[in-house]
Amino acid sequence: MTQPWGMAIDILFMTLRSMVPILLASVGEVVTERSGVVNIGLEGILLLGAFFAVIADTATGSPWLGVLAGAGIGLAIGLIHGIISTKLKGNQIVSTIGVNTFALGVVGFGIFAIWHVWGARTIPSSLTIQPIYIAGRALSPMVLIALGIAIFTYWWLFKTSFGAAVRACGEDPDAADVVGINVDLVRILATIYGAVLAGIGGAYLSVDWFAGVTKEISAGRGWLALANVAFSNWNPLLAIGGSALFAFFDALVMWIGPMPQVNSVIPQEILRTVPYIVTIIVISGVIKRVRPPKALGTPYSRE
Amino acid sequence: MSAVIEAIKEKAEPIINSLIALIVGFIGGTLAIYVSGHDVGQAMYQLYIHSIGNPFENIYPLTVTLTYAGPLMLSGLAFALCARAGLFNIGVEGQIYMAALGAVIAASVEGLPAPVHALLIIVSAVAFAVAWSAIPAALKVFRDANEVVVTIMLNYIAFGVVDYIIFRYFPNPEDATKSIIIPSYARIPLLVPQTSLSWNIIISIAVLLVIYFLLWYTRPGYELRVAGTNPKAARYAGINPKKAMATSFILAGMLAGIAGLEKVAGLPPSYSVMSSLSNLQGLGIDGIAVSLIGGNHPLGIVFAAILVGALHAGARGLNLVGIPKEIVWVFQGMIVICLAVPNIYTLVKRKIAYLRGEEVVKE
Repeated sequence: MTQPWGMAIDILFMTLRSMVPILLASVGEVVTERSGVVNIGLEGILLLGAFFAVIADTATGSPWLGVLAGAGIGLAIGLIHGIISTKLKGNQIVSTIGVNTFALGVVGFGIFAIWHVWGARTIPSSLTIQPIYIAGRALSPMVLIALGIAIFTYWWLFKTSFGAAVRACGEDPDAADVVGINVDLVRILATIYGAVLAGIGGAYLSVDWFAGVTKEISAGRGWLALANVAFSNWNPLLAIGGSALFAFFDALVMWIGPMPQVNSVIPQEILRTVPYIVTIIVISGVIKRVRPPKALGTPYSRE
Repeated sequence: MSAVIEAIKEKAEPIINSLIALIVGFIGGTLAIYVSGHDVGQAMYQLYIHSIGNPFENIYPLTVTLTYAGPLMLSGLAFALCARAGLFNIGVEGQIYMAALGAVIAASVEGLPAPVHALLIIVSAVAFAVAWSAIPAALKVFRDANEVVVTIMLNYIAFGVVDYIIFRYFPNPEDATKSIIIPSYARIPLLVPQTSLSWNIIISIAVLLVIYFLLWYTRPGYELRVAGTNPKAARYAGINPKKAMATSFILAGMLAGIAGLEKVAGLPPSYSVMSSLSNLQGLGIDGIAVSLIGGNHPLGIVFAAILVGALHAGARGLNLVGIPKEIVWVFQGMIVICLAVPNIYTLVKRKIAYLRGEEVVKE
């Protein structure tokens, strides 16, 4: 009798687990884009975060230092992309296409160079972030941390003067400059903030969820996050809902995919493409009514 | 006279920008090899002898470089064409998978006369790629959907669908790691016997020249470039930017189709699709780097494709000393990040002038 409820709770917990990397990357990108910089390198930063987290984790024995390493690589990429997007007036799309390619290279190359295995390195469960138990079910503390970061980000982006400065840089950098805001500096900081959160999301993938790193570990989640930013209308709170939607399909596919009665109708390979199809439908169907920050993607120069 | 020199300088600047980016990328890649504890000298030697070597004694390494360069020219050109129209088309990768699917499905048809069957394989490969490319085109034109996200998603979907269909319905009965083989009469013939270099390279260069002519010497080509550089001015001049977008996507799909065909029907010894699409993977991604290194210009792309082709050919040598082929993407990623910075040459020049100026002050 309790089975339907059990199933619903199973799906809920799987959704929460899948939600973390998408949510962290989306909330960070909301801030970055609100400041007027676009970063399509989220996928690459997730990948790099996952990789460097495992290195730090296995070296120190602490998964939390792994998370810190993920944040660190995010910081480095964010700083570089931030400078290219502001001081150097570079092309933001090209720069982060480079980041994605670089990440594919570093992780594919690095996994073999460091551990002498092809494509995948697992870690023992003792080296992963230990779950907390809610109603007898395991839940990663990272779920709560990610939700907390989303709420905190909403608060500072919309309720503090620094948040107002960030938004001003994305909407009307000329006006921001006139009132004494250092547009380039704010944008660099906002880009770092976004990349650090994506790096933490990547670390979560390897030192928590999958207990290891593969060269395909990000599996498009960075791109789902990018779609989610517009879907949530550049709002960190709405991003929670958007991430949950994308994560739900992710969880659903993982949950029903292996079932023999499903498998005989739709093969797993095809089923796995469902989250990507949902993403296309979402961004081509829903996003018509939203409006991106006015100065998004254009470097600011004083006339 | 000085005006001529100025004109040459202006033309040379994008080339110098690319060269600076290449140098930075090369230093970065070399650093990665060094940090990972490999012998850098040995690695560079392997890279060199497997991509160039001594062409007067042994032409083979060079033919491998050109073998890689052929399809790269087309995947690069497909990205460049859309970039010229103001679009970031990351979907070439998926369109190439679709072309391979089209070729394999057509190859499975039985009972046709050889020339008809060969033609069917060609048409089917290109048609599949164009159809896949029409999706982001339509979503962009009618729904203003972000083409970057749509094309990336379509790449993931294409991988799942193509890998499944080919290995479920068209596996090679003698070898489970590949698909059915393209019949010998539908293959692109070899250019240099005893090597892997086929007419691919000639076909690619011919296609490049056609696109070059289209872009710079015809009205639709002109409209496409104007729509890309300045959509507002284009609209003012009566050019429909949406038409330009759709045209560039469809042409890019055709190019991806030919690139996929070259990989499946023009590359000995497999003449098939390998499991996990391993002989197709990355061609679209590499095309982005090729296009950007070549300044999104058809003629620049020829050289850029040969360069990236040489990197791939050399990576086979690196594999022998235990360095995975992904190192190519470390090089490429750093090159592309540098290429994002406009006028890197001017920046460096200014920096040098500044440093010199400081020295003068000190004296």
